Amino acid sequence: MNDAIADALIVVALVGLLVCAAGLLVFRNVFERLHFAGAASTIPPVAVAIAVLVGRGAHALALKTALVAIVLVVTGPVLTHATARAAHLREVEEER
Amino acid sequence: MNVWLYAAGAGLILLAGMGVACCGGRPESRLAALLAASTTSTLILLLVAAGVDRPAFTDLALALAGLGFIGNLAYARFLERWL
Repeated sequence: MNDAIADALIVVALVGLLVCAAGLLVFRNVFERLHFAGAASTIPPVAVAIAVLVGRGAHALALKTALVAIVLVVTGPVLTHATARAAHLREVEEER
Repeated sequence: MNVWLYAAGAGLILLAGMGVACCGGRPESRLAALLAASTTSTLILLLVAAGVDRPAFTDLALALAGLGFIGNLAYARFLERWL
């Protein structure tokens, strides 16, 4: 049962990454791309962390994976904001 | 081979797609693709660590998550100020 849940969570993470990759390939605008890049740093890391916890048990592997997921979830929005800010300032500069 | 390693292989294919996205568009659009690629490569390392059941391998993923954050932030600031 635990393996089935872990497998399902891995599929969720891969689908999230697939949507992100497709969005990056389809859209060219930076702000549209950032929507997909931001989604990649929230759903897939959490899904992988829970999958490892469920599939491998609460050992060192699960704890470290959770730590990496927390780092990704916390730093992802900061990077998205920094990139959007840089893109906005460049647009403003070009319009002058 | 187990499901974790198959998932890591699928992640590598998606990473290639993000690499293609890094090659087109304006510099800030490429940076957005690089941001997603950094996250994806970190997740691939986590899946490999789970696949071979070696907790020590997650240290690589942790290092990449930290360095990816610093690197992408530096790129964003660089784009904002000088390019």
